[in-house]
Amino acid sequence: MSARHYAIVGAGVAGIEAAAAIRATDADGRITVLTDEGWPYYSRIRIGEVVDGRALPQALALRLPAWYDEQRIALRTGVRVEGIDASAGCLRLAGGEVLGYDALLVATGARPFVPPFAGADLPCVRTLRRMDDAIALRDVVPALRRAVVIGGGLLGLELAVSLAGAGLGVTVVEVADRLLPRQLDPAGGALVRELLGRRGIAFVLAATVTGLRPDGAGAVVDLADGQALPADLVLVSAGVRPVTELAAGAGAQVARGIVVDDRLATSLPGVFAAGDCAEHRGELYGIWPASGEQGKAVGRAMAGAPVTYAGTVRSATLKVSDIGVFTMGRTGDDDGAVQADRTGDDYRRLVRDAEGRLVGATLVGSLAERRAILVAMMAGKPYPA
Amino acid sequence: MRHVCVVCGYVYDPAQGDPVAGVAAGTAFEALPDSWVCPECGAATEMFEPVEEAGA
Ligand SMILES: Cc1cc2nc3c(=O)[nH]c(=O)nc-3n(C[C@H](O)[C@H](O)[C@H](O)COP(=O)(O)OP(=O)(O)OC[C@H]3O[C@@H](n4cnc5c(N)ncnc54)[C@H](O)[C@@H]3O)c2cc1C
Ligand SMILES: [Zn+2]
Repeated sequence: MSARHYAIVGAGVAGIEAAAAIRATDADGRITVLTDEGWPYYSRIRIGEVVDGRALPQALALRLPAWYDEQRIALRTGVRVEGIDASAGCLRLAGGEVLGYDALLVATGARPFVPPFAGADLPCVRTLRRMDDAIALRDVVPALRRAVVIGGGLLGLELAVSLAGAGLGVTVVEVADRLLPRQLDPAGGALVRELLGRRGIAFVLAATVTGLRPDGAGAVVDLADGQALPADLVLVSAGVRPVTELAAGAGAQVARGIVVDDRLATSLPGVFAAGDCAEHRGELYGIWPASGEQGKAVGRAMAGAPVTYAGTVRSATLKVSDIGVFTMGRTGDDDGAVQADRTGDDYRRLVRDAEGRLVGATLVGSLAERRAILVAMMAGKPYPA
Repeated sequence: MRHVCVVCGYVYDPAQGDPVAGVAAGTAFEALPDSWVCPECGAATEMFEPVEEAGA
């Protein structure tokens, strides 16, 4: 029997972890990874470092060129896959080439969502998802003075730090009344705001963007309360949407993402999906660790190993630039007795039940206590001991 | 000992090092240079925890 051919669309963490897992399971198979980006696998999380010059694009590579040779993975960069014929088992590539496969992984990731407000298509409106977006921004920012970042989530805050680092005056516009509302209580959010404020970042909270008006080469961002923020650059960070059209065009079942089962198989025979493009048990993760775990699992499944992917536990630890954020357990005001204190630039909030056991914890700044808190919480022990 | 990045799940394995960053195979986690960060997410070494090896 001749070697199986595995084709993978997308060279992000899902696609590359899958390729490595296939190779570990099937020593003989042929593996082809196709990406429409011009770069081999890199850290998408860190592309903000390219914008302000902290890192060169090639420094964010996650594998040496020799790794692809050693693993016998044929990586084809700058190649867009335009169609899948699942019944014939082949891909149609831009330029007309047809590539057959025995098993296919769709790991097409996600793309930024830009709300349909007026002026969203102005040239000064940008998003940051791909290395080329970062390079394009790096090249224009030296000539710019003011930026507005729409969206104060984790990603928006990272981008604000990058733009401030590149020397721009930055205003973050957030619809919620505080920063990181899903992760933090008001005091924790206020500390993050204060720490970022010291880096020169301004915030407009509880703000709704009603539209953008052209203003020279830039724009004026209009808010519902009448404020008007002039900007040379508007960076939209309002979430992402899975890239599903390639799989959908082949007839795969798509809900919000490409629907997969516990083997990461789609509804089409021989076609799998993993990473930000996939929807598993109703979940769209949109995060790096989940995409990596799905990639590892799907690679084994494609090579015929028994696999049950049951989901990924979301990490309790985040970082906004270099500010640590940790939340664990029940952290609501009604979940128990709250003890909140701040020491310098570090914030700690502990929630205890009637017996004094720790049921929830939040840390901002130093995460030195994280481990001790985890241990106390798991063991149901008092904390501090 | 292997160490895991609690932000993104990257595992630093001394047996592999971090060849892209010029860290040779065989370099202990404790011997990483101060400038070293998680290659996948950029976290500093404080964000890493030792991985308890099963059976070790
Ligand atoms: C600036 C930034 C910061 C982030 N920070 C964090 C963070 O702190 N923590 C975290 O967990 N996550 C973070 N994320 C999200 C994380 O990067 C993603 O969850 C992860 O990259 C998803 O990996 P993936 O392999 O599924 O998809 P992707 O990395 O998006 O890769 C998909 C690839 O497929 C290619 N592709 C799509 N369609 C085609 C086609 N038809 N033909 C050929 N190629 C195609 C795309 O161009 C892309 O290269 C961040 C993202 C960004 C942009
Ligand atoms: Zn990491």
